[in-house]
Amino acid sequence: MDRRLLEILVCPLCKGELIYQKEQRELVCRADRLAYPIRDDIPVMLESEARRISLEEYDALKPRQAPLE
Amino acid sequence: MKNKQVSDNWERGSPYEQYAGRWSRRVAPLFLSWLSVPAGQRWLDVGCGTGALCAAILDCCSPSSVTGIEPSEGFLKTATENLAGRAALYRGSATAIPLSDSSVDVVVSGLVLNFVPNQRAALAEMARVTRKGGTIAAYVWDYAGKIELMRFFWDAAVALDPDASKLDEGTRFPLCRPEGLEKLFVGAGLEGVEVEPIDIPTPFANFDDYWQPFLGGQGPAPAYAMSLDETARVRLRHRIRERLQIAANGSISLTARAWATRATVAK
Repeated sequence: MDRRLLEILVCPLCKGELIYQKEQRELVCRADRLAYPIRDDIPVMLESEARRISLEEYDALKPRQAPLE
Repeated sequence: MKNKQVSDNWERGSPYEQYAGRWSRRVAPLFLSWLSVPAGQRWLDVGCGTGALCAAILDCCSPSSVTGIEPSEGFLKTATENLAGRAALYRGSATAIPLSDSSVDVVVSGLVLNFVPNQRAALAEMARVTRKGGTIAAYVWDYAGKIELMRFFWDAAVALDPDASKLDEGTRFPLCRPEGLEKLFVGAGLEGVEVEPIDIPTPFANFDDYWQPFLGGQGPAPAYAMSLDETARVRLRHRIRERLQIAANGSISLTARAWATRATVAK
């Protein structure tokens, strides 16, 4: 995923930031506890296709760090 | 008559190309030339389909970036092939755009708004992602009026079967008229709303060239044609053929009109 593109991509529901989980190929919204899949390099930003993440997964997620100056 | 359900399903690739895609593609450059947006802008195409409008933006407008969102997986797959990495493509909905506020300069949507269930919500989302002073523009087919290839079809279909009017896009899509478009854009709080017709010629080499795409089953009119039994379909074919003006060399010259709207996001 291109970092520049990730900066304008947000959760379609709450418009909050997404955490890129490279190994799972998912974009996670912590606030909505939803993981949006990336299929064939295309992020699927539809609630109907997102996976609800477990509490354990939620706890393991760190909010995205503020960009460095 | 059986199976007369409405079909707005555009998922599959090629029958659509024959029926509507080949004409839709011709509108995009005319629309962009009417918009005359300066170079170096960040564009978003809402409901980018197979990528025809994105490709025209890349070819004509020297954008700094092009993003396309599209709910249909099938269309997006074709768009990926057509655009070969020149645009950022996401599966997403017009009413829940996955981009941050004020993140683009120009939002466009080509031949899409009639298929969006909640158009006001879509316009609100388009305005949210556009920077202040940015442009929002769209075009829709003039289903109720001058899209002659469909008009001849539905007028004949309704003459033979009054129930067919329930499927006619001209009846079903209130947004295909300029007043509807203007009202939608003004209602979204946008400024300087303008509406303009874009006419393209849709020439057919002969009657078969006109009729064959209706047998592809894709889109409301082809779906209706294929829901008829053979006898009824032949009757419909004859009725349309009678009404069309066919030149001595067999060719048929029709016109298709799209209505384009543009507006500015208030500063």
